[in-house]
Amino acid sequence: MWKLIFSKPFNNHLINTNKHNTYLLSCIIQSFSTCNALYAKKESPSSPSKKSTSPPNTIQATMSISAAPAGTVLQGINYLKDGTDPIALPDHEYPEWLWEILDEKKQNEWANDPTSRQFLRKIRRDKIRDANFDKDKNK
Amino acid sequence: MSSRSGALSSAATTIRILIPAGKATPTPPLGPALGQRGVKAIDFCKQFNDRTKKILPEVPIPTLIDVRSDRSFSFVIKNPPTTWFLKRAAGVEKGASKPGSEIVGKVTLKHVYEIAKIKQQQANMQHLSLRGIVKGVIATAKSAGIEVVN
Repeated sequence: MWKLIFSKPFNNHLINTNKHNTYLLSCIIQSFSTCNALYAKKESPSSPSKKSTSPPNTIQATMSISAAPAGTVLQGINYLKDGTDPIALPDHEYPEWLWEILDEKKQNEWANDPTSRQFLRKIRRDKIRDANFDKDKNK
Repeated sequence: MSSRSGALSSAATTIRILIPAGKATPTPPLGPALGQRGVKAIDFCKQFNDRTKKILPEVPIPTLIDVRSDRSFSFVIKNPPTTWFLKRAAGVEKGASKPGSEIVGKVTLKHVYEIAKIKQQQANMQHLSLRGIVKGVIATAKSAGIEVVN
């Protein structure tokens, strides 16, 4: 179930720390899992879980199983003398956007939403490109 | 990275070059490039090896060497190239000769995440979101013929 979030853009986006947002949209339709995770985290205090690292329900539902299970040594990443290759953490300890990033459909969803930041950005950039093209022709 | 040829010895120039960590002063690539601009190769190599002593030997380090008109120099060190990390993580010596139609190795999303974390420490990437960097690493993997798997 997704809900419309009436709020300032990206103040409630969990991971995005982009400093260049200046849009004042009154509602944002976020991707499903981010939206749900936000509400899941707000509701969790009422039902405390026994394990401190138990995964939120949404990640279990949307997560795909990683080829590198927790505890795998990620070889070849370390390049310092006194460092070691990092060890894979359990899947739910990685940010949620990571599991969707290979899904082409989800990554291109913004094209259907005319109020999304990427959509407006594309319009703006196309305008700039057209304006520059016109300027060149006049030369 | 090839070094740019300086026009005049008095002009301030920038040299972009890949140097194996802890092992500077090979005459062919580095020596002439520095010598042309009047920089003493030995001085540079001492400083470079000093700065890279915590890094595993032979790791390629992209460096930007700024040579000023009075023959003084300063240099910036970055972390190893993304393709180097990816090839190492996939256990592959060389990238694909025909990326797109050829796949040479596989890497998981967790590998990509860790590589992105290292890349984020670089000075020119610190303003980017980790998600953006991960996307970049995936694109680099695609151009090297390395498949990124869940």
